Amino acid sequence: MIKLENITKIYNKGKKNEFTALKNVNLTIEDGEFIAVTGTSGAGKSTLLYVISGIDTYEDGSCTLDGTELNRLSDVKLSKVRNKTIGFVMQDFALVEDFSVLENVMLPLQFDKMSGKKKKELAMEAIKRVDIEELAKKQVNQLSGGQKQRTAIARAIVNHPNYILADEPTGALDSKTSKEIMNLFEKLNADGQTIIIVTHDPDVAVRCKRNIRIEDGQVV
Amino acid sequence: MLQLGLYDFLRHIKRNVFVAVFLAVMCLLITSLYSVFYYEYGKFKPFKKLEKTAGNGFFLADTVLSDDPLNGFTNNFVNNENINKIYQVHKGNNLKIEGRTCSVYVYGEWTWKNWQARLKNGEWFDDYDKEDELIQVVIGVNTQGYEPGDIIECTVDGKNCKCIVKGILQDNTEIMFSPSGYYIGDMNYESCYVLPQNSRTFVLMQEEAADACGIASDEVVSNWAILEYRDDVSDEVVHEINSLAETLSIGAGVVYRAFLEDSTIIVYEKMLAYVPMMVSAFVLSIIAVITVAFINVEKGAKYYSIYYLTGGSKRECFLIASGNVAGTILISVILYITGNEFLEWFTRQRNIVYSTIGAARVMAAGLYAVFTVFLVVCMFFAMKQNSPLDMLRKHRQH
Repeated sequence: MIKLENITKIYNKGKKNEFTALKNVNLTIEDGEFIAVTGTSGAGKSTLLYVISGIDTYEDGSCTLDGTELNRLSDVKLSKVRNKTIGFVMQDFALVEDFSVLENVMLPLQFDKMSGKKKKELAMEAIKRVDIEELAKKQVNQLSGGQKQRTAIARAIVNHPNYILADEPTGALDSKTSKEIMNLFEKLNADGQTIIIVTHDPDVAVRCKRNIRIEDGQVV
Repeated sequence: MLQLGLYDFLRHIKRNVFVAVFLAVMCLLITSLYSVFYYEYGKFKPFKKLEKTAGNGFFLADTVLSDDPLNGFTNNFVNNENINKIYQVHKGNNLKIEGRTCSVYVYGEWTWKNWQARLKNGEWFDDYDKEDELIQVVIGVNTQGYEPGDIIECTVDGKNCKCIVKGILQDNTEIMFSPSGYYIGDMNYESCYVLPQNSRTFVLMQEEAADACGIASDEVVSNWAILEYRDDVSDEVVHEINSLAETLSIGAGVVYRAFLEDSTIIVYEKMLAYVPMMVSAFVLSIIAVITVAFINVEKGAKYYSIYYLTGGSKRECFLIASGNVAGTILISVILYITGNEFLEWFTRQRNIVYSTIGAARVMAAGLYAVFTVFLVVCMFFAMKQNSPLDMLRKHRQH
């Protein structure tokens, strides 16, 4: 479960261009939910994801992930939480172009102590789940947008995280590919995965079971 | 994480090798230049000491090809009241080693105590002891392949003496400015040319040892000498003596100027042939390294933000990036050592001056330390300027 209580995030605090990205946000996300976070550009949607994942800090309030308060953790411990508990999917896929599909999917496992063989097994398992098994050895820069996003999703699930956070996952894809990716998310959610998608696309939002709207840093 | 570091390094192997090669070239250029400079300058060092004590002493080469080899210029100055002392180096031609005629350079005490040639192996002279059964010699041009410790039979006018090889010179083209070879081209002081004398062995010997061996001073051509003036001698007298000495000598131009003027200037002039090429290559290398280091910054920062996103801490990301630097430096050091060994071998085959002295090796180690720190600092600031959060925001396209 993810719980946010009175979360406030301010950028450039004390400076002329001070900006409050999140104001007193209260939110509870239960396990297994499939949530769309919508809002206009600059509303604070991505900031919410970064705060939940521990990539960004917050000035006030409390954010707990499965009972662990994130602001109290060191960078090393936060990275472990991110590695084990969260899978991230970005709009432009955030893949290492020089690596193959398999190498990209193995990335989260490289920060763990397990044998190379075990890493490959887990990675192939994730690749199969997203139906790109035949592309495992191909370099990512040779793939289509949809294939890249599937790779990113495989990387996000390889460690069997509790949560998948996706920031505009269909933003760079055509409508047909977007539908395929959403089908994949639905399949993962049906398997019990908690998924939070930031999107401004109503076609994506409508496929999620719960919609949270953010306006000017506040949950509406 | 180690495996990821290795992946990261190997995936950028072309870039890393490119930087490694240019770093190695830069270090080779710098240490070569320093080594050659030091070697050239080192020839003049013993005479700096003399200059301080003797005021205006200088060093000249004698008429090697004079019709009257006994009329060395030293004979003109032996009784000169303005000269305190003459330090002589002789050259004799009537030494036979195991039946073959050899050249011998006889060194006066001041000479062999103040200047030591670079030895390929073995040792330089010890203090002469007339009780020693074996005469110490150092081999210059080693046509017979002698080794330190070899005992060789020498004869002078039928008189036998046994010599022990103390050492073998590294550079056999020039010994105290007087080549083991001979001049070619015009008898122009400014453009004397030196060739190694490969046709015969030649031997360095202490003056007292040479006397004991029977190489009498009147049987040798006075090759070159150092004149130590009295402290109170006037500039006019010095000038007069210098002029006279110069007219008696061939091949004195470079050395004469070096000693009366700043010897460093002479070294610099000699280095002029090398400097433009080396400076150009050095500048190009610097530009190449900095360009490669910086154009890869944003790409590198993007990759490290991905590692951060997938669970790497900032420390782990920094370590992976540092691994790239470490691997690049390691390859570069290997290339440098290989390149240096090759240069030393290559130039030795051609009797060209090149010898990486100890100080140059220390300098190379220092350069690599500087480059490593530079690359790591660049990387650190690049990662700080492009924090994972900033890079992740750039991943969003709207």
